[in-house]
Amino acid sequence: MRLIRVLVALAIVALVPILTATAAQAQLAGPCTGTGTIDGKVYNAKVVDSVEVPRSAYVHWRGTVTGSGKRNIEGKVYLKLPPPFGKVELGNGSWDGPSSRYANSGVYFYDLPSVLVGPKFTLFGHHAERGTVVCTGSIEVQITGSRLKNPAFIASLLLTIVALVNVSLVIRVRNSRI
Amino acid sequence: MTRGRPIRGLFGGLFLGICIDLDLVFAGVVKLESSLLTILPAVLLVIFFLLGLWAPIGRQHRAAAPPLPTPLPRPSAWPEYAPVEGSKTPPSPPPGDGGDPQAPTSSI
Repeated sequence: MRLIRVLVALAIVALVPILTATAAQAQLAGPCTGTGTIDGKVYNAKVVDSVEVPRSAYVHWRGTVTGSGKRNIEGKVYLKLPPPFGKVELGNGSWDGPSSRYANSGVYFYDLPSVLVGPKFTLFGHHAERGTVVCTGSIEVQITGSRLKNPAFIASLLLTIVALVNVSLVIRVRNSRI
Repeated sequence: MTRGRPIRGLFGGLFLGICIDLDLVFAGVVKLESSLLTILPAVLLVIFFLLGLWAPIGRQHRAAAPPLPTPLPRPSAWPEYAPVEGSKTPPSPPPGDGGDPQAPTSSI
């Protein structure tokens, strides 16, 4: 029983601060602006902390940065995964090279698979000018839709039941053969 | 002898941790970059390794020690008039010899 008490105490000490930690605030720091419009709804990176977007849509995006003249720029948008996986750069989410533009806009179409419905992704991004990062930003993104229609979620629930049955057998005494 | 299953507990705890991680992610309970997703499988791995060693369920209580056997009776000498294997007729007991069958007898 003492061992159980010690394990429960350790679990509480380790997990409670993690579970109760406040979520990082979305932010866009620096002389940049960024907006996206999906189905007529405008998402401003300086205003919103988290967004829920449809699985498939056209995004009318626009970004600006202050300054003038031609210079080398670099930037990317990436997804942060738990350790030890690190960051994953999104496709079409990077730019670099000499540029004289200080604003850009376009329309981007995306169509995401149903396995991405449910998880909360935090997207990070930065923009650098002349080798110096001038803007950083992050925003929490969730794809709308029923989680129960996500086949990966159903599969993970079934696997969890199998794993629970397995560990319930683990804690039983094994009778050895003589 | 009874024992648990620590190795199976180790892998079972890791598997359970990964499955719960997936549940938490797909349910949108935790964010994808949360360090909880890394800690949980490691914690469950250790917990179920220890529980596998301990195996608290199904443990049989040790029965009370059986009582000592009663001591054997005192050995007694084999009487001469007792039937002998292969003999035809057992010798009759000597007259007046109705005494103690356990008394030592000497063979002539």
